[in-house]
Amino acid sequence: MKTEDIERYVNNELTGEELKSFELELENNVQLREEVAQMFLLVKRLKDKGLSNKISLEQRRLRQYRKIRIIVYAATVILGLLLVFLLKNSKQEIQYPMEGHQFPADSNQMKIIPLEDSLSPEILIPVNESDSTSVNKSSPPIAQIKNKEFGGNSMDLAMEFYFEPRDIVYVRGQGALSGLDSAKLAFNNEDYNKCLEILSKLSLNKPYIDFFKANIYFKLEQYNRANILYSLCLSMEKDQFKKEEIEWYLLLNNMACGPKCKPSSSHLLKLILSNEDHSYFKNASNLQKSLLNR
Amino acid sequence: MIKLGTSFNRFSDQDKLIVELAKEDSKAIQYILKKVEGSCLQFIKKMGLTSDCLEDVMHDGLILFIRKIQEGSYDATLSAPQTYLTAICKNLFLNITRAKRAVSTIELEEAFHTYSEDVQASFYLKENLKLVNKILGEIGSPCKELIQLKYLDGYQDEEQINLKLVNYSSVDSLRVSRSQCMKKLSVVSLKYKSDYEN
Repeated sequence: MKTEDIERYVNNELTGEELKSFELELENNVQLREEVAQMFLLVKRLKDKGLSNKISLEQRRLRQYRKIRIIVYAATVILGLLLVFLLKNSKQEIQYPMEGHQFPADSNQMKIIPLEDSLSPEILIPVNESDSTSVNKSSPPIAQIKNKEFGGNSMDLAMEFYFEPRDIVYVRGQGALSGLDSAKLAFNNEDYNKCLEILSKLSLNKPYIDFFKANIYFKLEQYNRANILYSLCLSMEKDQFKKEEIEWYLLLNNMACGPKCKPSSSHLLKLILSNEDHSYFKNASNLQKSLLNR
Repeated sequence: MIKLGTSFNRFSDQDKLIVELAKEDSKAIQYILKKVEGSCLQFIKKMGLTSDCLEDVMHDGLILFIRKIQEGSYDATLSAPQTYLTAICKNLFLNITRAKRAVSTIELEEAFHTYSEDVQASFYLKENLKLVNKILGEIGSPCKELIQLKYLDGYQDEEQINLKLVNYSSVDSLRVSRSQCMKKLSVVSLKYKSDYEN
């Protein structure tokens, strides 16, 4: 009997006639039986070793998977924290302090809007300094005479005195023939979001659009945005009548803004009242009376 | 890792897992190791052991379990594969602590095979693995490679020829050479066996 046949028999590789003759020989040959038993044992040990190697390999793989999983989890947590941090920071950048509705502004505006709900002095006093010198500096600020709070009441008062500028008023019965008409109609319907959207698409002259938007932000009680736009219009405007109109609306806006904008509104009120020819002199006088009566 | 997860789904069928374990399939081995690891960890904590021995015990336990499947001594109707393997591992852990009295704490379902049977089998397994390492190291090249390819790496004779893993042109010549090597290995193993017995 060949040695390789013993190995083949142990490994169940013998078939048919080969197997039959081997089994016959096995029955009659004691020495072969011993050799087969020995081969069985040897092969079993070798196969155990093979299986042992395989299990060790899988255990190593599992350890690697576990390591990878830990790395992935750690990376995910770090990325998540980073994302939260970035989101938090980006939110702070575009967060507006005013309550009420918030509408998207164009990117130029986003850059100049301050984070806190206060206005920087250079924005608050946009009118030229020579005009202000004509006002009697010794007199106390008008707004402080009675209305010490100058808060919620002044906002109501500003709203009371506010009427839509003629340029942006929608004439009833008129169809929305142009984009501007649509914007006016939306403003009239107090759909300020839509109005801003339409305005952002129009290619009209910028000072007019800015003035329109300033009025929208005033209505939305976003006074610092409105202030920026009114101030911008005022600095760009050449026409005296229009300038006086902007001054009036800027005054109302700063009044509505509350105590933070009080110096600016007092200054503007004094400025308008110091000029009897001012287009809004009468309105300002009435406003002053109302302030004194409160 | 996703790939691993999806390939594992096929083992949710217990019968399939048993069949694949009997074939010594790598994925099935990985699957059951993962399944049993948690309960073994819990057990060694309870016994006050460190996790250092965890892999060794699971390794030996799984070899014993796969052999039981292959021999037909494992009855799937009595216990799930994971439960059975956990029970073997628990016995081996108990052997480490020598806290034999704790056998009574094993659930009845798991206690159908005896503590001593597993421990003894594990002891012989360890001894045999050591012996194989020694005798393989002793017989040297090319016998070591020929035997390793067939029995440790699991290549069929035809595969070894086709993949040119050996320098033989026919299966017959490979078998003749390997059988000589097996004879040599048997002689060496007998020598070591007598050394052990002495």
